[in-house]
Amino acid sequence: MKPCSGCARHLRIAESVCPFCGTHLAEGTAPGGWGWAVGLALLGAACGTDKGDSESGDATTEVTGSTSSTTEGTTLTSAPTSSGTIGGTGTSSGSEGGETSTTECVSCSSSSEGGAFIYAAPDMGVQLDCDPWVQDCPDGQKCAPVGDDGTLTAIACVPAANPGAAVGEACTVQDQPHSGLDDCAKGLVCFEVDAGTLTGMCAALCTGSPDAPVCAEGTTCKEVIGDLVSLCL
Amino acid sequence: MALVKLREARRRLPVVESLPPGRGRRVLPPPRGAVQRPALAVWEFTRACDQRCQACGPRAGTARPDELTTDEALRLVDELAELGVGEVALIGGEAYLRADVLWVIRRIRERGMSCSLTTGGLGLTQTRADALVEAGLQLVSVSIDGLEASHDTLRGTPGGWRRCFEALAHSRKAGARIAANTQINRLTWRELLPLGELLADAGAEVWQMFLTMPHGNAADHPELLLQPFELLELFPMLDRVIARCAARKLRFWPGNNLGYFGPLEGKLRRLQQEDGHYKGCSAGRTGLGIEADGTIKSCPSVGGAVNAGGNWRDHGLRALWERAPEIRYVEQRGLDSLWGYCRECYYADTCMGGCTAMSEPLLGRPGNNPYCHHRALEMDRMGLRERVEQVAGADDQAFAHGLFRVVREPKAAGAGPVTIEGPRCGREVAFFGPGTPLGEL
Ligand code: SF4
Ligand code: SF4
Repeated sequence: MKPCSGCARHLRIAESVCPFCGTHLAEGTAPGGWGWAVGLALLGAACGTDKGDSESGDATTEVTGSTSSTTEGTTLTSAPTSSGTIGGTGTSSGSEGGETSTTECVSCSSSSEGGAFIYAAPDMGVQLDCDPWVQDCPDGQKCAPVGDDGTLTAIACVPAANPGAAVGEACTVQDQPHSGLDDCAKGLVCFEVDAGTLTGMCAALCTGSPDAPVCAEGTTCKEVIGDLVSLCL
Repeated sequence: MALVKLREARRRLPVVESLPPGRGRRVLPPPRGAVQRPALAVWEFTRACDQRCQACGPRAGTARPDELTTDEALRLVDELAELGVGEVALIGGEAYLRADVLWVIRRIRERGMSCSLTTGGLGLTQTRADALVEAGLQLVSVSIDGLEASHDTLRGTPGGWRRCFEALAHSRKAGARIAANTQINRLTWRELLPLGELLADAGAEVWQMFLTMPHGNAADHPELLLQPFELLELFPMLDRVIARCAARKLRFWPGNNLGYFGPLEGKLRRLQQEDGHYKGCSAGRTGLGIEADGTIKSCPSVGGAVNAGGNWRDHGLRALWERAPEIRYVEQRGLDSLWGYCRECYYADTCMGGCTAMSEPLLGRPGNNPYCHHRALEMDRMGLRERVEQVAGADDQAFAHGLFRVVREPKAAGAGPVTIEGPRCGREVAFFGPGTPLGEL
């Protein structure tokens, strides 16, 4: 699903007008994908797999019953309802417990799951060994996101190249795309790393604080992994 | 089961330099056709408890009659590891009341799994905390329900709230990461903001909150439940809580029955879900529940025969996880298992009616859930509101539930109901599908 830019409600990817607030949306626009998107899952594992965008025929849902009225120039759309017409392989299991169902969608399960099971402890999330906003690691080290398989496992002090590559310069990471071991200078990370060549481009971590981020002129601070890691882009 | 004392259990715990880091709750999608492995196993290690809380799902207090022995528990840990579980979250009752929990924690960690504990905190002394962390416990989450008066009323233990904060301090000093679990209900909902400040002051890293569910002891206290229409007031409050949590570096962690799909959904779940929204109940999909006697179920928060796959002693873990219909239910049901408003909802095929542990104890079967922000907003937009009324009480079993009906009525005071949605037959009568109305109760 994608968030509506007008009202923040989640909408089906194919939606061109928000049924809740009437905002016109770019068709097919998915939420921005970052190199670390999969990593977000470890910040907290999810509960269930995403079925909403399985538009390839496993489940089809038809929006019906939306009515619009205009008040002071704003289009208000009344409670949209959907009638699920289920077809193809997604035919519901019914009383005999069929083999496939609309909730089975291996291909649309993009990454990690786990859950916020009530009564269990919340997810431990990543280990925070340092603060990337203030770069509080000892000399010769930098505070950087570290992970594996595209999943963030820690914000940790790692060796900093000296002198390292500057913002916008090409960089190389060691071992795997999210090892955190790169040749960018302190305060920078190697971003959008190509998994095959292990090369990317140095980008600056935002400084200041999540509430008052600071970036060089011409760039803005964007959250890359929740509010834990933000880059000036 | 021979009881062992904490000192003895600790003395017999081998000293180790280090333990493997623990895989955590992450799972990657399974190969096509394969069954997803459970990322998280939530284990009621004993139902014995040192408190008698008004909202306790398992109606904890005394141990179950036939709880797993130490040897059995250790073998179960091995099977959890073999099945691919990444984290074992110990709950109760009160897990620390069995000293052999130390050996079980150690085995969990030795087998490469992460280990966390949810506790009421009443008896989590420094000695106990030290022993648990020494064994390998990584995170302690203390259940704290509101400010002092509310918490102590709900838990029935004067002084209990203060002991919770001591438990957090002991755990932190022992070297564990600390967190809190909070139930949102009639007594606590307006106390979240000040509680969050206190938790941040105490050094908590994560704060999970969830709506009190109408099962177990809470089924005997329906007055504790918020009404569905009150979510319209709750969610703006949560917005402020989330902002304060961010400012205080306390990670907000919504329980699965808190949602869904309102304007706050992205903020609620942006640190929890890759796409920032709820994706349906994960009972038996990415997690499983274990009761102290070895019963394996789809989720720790559900109960009764319809959710129990069977006993580990009889079948082993893998067979139950992969084949028990009660555990595979969520995976195998279709949209036709939704009913009432949820069946017609814009989000039906993603949300599938929200948390089973919330809807089933309310209306007798899952698939229709009035405790939903989107739904409350849509009702409001139509000039309506929903509230629940209990129509049948619960028996005295763990996770037993009564029955409720949903009254949909105009917001304007004094007008009669527009519709009344009554409970439906349980899944023991019709396992899949929308069920049939139970008629007059
Ligand atoms: S109305 Fe039901 S299906 Fe729709 S979002 Fe709410 S809980 Fe989910
Ligand atoms: S019943 Fe609720 S807590 Fe349990 S898996 Fe489903 S959504 Fe999660």
